[in-house]
Amino acid sequence: MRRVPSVLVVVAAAKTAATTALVRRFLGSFMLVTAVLAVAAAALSTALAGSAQAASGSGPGPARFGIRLVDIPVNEADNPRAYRYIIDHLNPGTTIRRRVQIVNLSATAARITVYPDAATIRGGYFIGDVGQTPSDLTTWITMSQHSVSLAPNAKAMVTVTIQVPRTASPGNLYGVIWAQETSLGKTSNGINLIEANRVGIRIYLSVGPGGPPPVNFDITSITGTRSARGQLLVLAQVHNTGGQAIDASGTLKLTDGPGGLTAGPYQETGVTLAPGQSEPIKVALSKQVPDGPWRAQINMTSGLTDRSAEATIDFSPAAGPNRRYLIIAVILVVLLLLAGLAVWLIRRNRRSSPIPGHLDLMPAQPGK
Amino acid sequence: MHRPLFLVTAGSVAAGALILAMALPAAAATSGRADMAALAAPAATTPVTFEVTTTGTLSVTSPAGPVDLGTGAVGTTIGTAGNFGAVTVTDNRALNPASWTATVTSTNFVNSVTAADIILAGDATYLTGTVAATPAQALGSTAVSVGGTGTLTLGTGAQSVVTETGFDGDNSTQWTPEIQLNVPATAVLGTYDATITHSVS
Repeated sequence: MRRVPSVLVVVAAAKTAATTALVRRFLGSFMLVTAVLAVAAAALSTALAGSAQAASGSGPGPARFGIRLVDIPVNEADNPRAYRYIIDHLNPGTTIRRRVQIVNLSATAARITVYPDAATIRGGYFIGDVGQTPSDLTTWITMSQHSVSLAPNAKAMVTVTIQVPRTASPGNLYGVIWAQETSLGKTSNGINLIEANRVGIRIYLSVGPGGPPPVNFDITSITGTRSARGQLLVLAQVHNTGGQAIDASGTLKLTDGPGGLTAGPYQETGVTLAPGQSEPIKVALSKQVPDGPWRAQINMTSGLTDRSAEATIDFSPAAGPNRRYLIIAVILVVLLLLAGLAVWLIRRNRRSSPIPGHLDLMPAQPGK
Repeated sequence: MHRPLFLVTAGSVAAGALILAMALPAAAATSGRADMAALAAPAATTPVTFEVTTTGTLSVTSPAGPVDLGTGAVGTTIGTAGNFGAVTVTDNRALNPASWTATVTSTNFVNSVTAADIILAGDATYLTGTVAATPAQALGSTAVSVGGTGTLTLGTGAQSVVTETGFDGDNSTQWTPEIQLNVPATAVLGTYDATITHSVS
């Protein structure tokens, strides 16, 4: 376990050319980066002693703004996903209201715009569309306010009303309620970047008659690989077999290893999947983990749904696809050699044994 | 941390709603779901909700101001390490699991005098740089994962840059991206503007 010094926050926040120049991306060794940062941080904290930004990691830190979901449906009170996202199954013709709170966490006033946007689930990620992309869902949403001007550390409630029309087709719809702050002004020459940061509450809406579609997913395979650099990786394929989107994450445990070793639990990368989608999740292990074989146990949770899977995996290169390629290569070489030998033998035979009938065509030599 | 409070609140509101629903049989004219809604809000079709009493938010750094990438001749690459400034995502929602995805998009770079002259967003590269997380994660851990291999060709579509899925409870993650722009040999001289958006949800 490696502790990152809390001064890193200050360094990152200070945005000085000196700091950023130090954080060169090609500094390969993480140790070296940490050491350089620590030195830079020491210098910076002296330089910024009077500045508000020089607060430690637990203090005010850099200016920021945030959002949180305030209203949760009572019937989803046990579902951890419902505390993060607007998740609901609605019959056509239903209207729901959810409040979100926008908070200005900086020492200066801020103007924050609030708006709905379309979203898609692809490659295992939930991705809000660019800007303010309209969709069926966004046309059903009305916001009580489109922007809020907040004094330092002030909060504002914004009500999101989702009105599903009676004619709405059944299906799953995704969107985001964004709170956005955009940098003002511009520089006078060169390449000028306007910075826009936004933070949002995802919406997972299922529309249709009757009750909500089932939530279900499977872990369809578990494999272990060793990368060219020696990094161990466990890959598990997750397949959403239900009728609603899932946000699955969990842990990996390795048991029954060499000499009865156990390892883990390791945290997995999470995955967001729409119904029918299947994507791999990755777990990176340290290089010190022996090759195995191991009994790999994966547990995953999405909301109230848990799934687990077990498989025997092996990280040794011999057990991987490399050996198969080697065998195929050897077989190919042997086949080529055999073919060459056969051709050579045929040609040799042809040369040593005269073609039948050839002699018959030779003119008979008189006197013999 | 705050979860027990959520659950207590949830439980008491649910119990209260049930008691009220039983105490008011006259209201049971329509479906049970609508009854609870009628008590919770005037709109008869609104399913009942409860309020989470916490102050924690999912937050991102306020944009510090316009970033000047500098100038460069056509056919060269403009960019210095960390030129975009730090992006910090703080998740104080005290949730388990506490996960979020940060994506980035860029508009095309538009000449501020002649708007018809553009440098495509795809000529710019996003280098994520070192990602520091609090609480610190074990070396090689995948609690915080970086999209691509830390280098993305920017585009007008959203791409994930940093994803946090491994932490339970409060956490904070910082990175200081570099934006590199390959100025095409055919670019028209002038000042160019683009908007780069980080989205966290």
